[in-house]
Amino acid sequence: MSKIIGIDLGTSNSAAAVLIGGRPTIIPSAEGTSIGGKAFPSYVAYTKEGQVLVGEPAKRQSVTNPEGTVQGIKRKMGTDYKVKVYGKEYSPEDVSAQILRKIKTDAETYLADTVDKAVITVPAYFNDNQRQATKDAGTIAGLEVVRIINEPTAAALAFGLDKVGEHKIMVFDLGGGTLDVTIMEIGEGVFEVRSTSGDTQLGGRDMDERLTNYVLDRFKQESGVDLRGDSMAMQRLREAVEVVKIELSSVLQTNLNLPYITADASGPKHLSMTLTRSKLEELIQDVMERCRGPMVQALKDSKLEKADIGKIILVGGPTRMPIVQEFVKSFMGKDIERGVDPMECVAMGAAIQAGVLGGEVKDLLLLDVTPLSLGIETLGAVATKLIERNTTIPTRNSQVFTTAADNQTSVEVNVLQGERPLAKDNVSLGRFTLVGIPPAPRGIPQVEVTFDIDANGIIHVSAKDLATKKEQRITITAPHKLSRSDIDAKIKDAERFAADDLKRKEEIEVKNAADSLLYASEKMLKEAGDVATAEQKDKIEKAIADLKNAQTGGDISEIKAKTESLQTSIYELSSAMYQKAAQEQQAQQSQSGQGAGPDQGKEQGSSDQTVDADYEVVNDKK
Amino acid sequence: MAEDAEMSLEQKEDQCDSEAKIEELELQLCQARSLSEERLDLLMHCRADLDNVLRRSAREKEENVKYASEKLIAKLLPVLDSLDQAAKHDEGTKVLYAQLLGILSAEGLTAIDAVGKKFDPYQHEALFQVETGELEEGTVAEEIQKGYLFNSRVVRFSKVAVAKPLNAAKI
Repeated sequence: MSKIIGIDLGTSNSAAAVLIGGRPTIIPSAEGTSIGGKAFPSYVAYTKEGQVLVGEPAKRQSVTNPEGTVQGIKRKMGTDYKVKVYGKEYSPEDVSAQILRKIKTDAETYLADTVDKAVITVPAYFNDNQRQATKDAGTIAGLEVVRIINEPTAAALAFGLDKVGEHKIMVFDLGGGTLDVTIMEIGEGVFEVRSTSGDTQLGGRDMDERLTNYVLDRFKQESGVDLRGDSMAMQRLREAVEVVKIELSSVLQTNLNLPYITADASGPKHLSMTLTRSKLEELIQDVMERCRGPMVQALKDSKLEKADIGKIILVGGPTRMPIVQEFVKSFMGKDIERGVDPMECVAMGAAIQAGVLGGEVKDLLLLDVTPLSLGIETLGAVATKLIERNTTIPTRNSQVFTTAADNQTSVEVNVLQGERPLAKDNVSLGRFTLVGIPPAPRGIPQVEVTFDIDANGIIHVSAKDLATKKEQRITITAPHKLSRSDIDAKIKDAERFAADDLKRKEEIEVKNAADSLLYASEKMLKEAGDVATAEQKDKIEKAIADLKNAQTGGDISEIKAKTESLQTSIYELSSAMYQKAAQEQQAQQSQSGQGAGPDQGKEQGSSDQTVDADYEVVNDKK
Repeated sequence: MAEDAEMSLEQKEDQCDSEAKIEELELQLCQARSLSEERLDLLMHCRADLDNVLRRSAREKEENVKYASEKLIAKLLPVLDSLDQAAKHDEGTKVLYAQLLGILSAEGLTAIDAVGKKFDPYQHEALFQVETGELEEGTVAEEIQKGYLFNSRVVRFSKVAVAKPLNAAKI
């Protein structure tokens, strides 16, 4: 069954989105993405040869084909206007249909499925004729328009405002060339437009112009050269200015460098200047001021006060600029909603509506994730993760652990939440003990620990002895309801202490390795019996004593060194043992060459290294 | 006789009760069945979505590997422009420019050949038109900024001026 897509059919730019796994996803335009975001320009071009171009390619040839290139057709929807090109006539619906047809093709490619239905957004102030024309455009393009929704409504859906009770909201939509302010009332799934206002000649383009003129004037002042007549220089400048404008949204100052921008009688000229955010804000002050009027008017027409507005949403690329956000914030006296990209929210909202109509969003709300990693405490007071943070739930994961000491008949499971490698730096959500493990040498028993998080976020942890099938479990309901800032702080801590933690963890691993090797070596000596020569025995016993000393001393590099020397001596013994066994075998067999090689001593040695493969559960019985 | 009638009334009541109970159970069964079908449908949708996402992920991963350097190279193009200009004034820079260009070409960067070719909106961006009697209409007359392909994908469109015929004298 094919999906219904959501379409933001804009005056300057258009975009489409669809729900995938319950999440709205922008459908990429076939010609690739542009600087600002994932939309494509709303351009349609009819060429002399009878070709039709849509989007970026149409824009790129617009200068060579002004009679055949159409942009901003949205302004003519619902009117009798006709586009006349090369002896043919097209209605606004025909032109818009070309844009919609391109979107349909892109969507079908992306989804690898047919797409026949769509939800399309329109400005809140569109009348019946304009809405019908939009629907007709869809039909011409081969799409059944199952719903027309208002752009501010779509934005509100994208921000999830339909889920937070009754509200009066303001949608501030500042695009490349227009400003639209809408006041709406939301409640019980109903969206009602109270008022709209705006400015059809105000947008990001004005900001670009201010900054470009400033740079040109300053350069003229500093170098005496006016770049305005040099098309190559202007081209480089325009591109660089756009990059600078976007950069200044995230940094306070940046450099504009255009070496060899031009040349005159006195030689080559270079443009190099520092541009600050405060300068940019100063330059666009008048643009910002013009945003005030529509907000005042919209409030007046809605008969509401600023205090009545519960939520504010910003839509459009230029609203990413801090100055725009601050302006709206200080005018309204409250903070704006965050969390959704202002350039994508209308298409996303349309996709959400499309999903609801397509039956995809019944009870299935957005799935939750675990905010912090979950795991247990293992040998050396180390935290071993079983579920990574940001894993979508419901989820489960199991891992097999073993005992740390000989004859350990119980294991204690300490459930930890957090990102730090050491158990003590994380939060303990709970503990329980599994008893009745049959006595065995350390490393032999197999205890399967399972973490199971259900759709409600309740954590079930169980430990099962695979031999006896005995099982113990614990259920953790509200694991320390942490706020977003707490979670972020914990993650930052983990990053901050990462280097230290790593060092400490490595130290613990060295100690663990030493313990394991001592255990295995002592065992092996016992088993070797007469096979080991007195000399070998002495050597090994000395190495064992050295290592034990190093352990008491606590110097990590010492411990590491002594571990290695013990290991070397052990290898000598084990290879000797295997050689002897091979010789004995050969002596037994009448025929030739089936002796096993001496290198298999490694296998014995490496089984002592299971510290790496098996994690060991801490036993707190002393 | 009266006794018989009484008994059959009780029996009738019992019968009504069990019939009502059966009806209730049948209704519950029906509801449970339709809920189950709904859930199964939803589950299949989820699995299908997952499969599709995995498939798309794999495809995108392949593409990313192929075009991994594309973003970085696009960012370096303004540097190439500057070096190109500088090279006109200084021999040393010429060598430097050639060196950098050599490395990038080996990676898959090629300049788009624009001047004299027919204007192609999939490779060129027209900045303005120039009137000329020497070139055919629709041919690229001037290159204002070089365009580049990276492994046959356009990473920057050539900025060009397109030829148009001389203004015919008004009759």
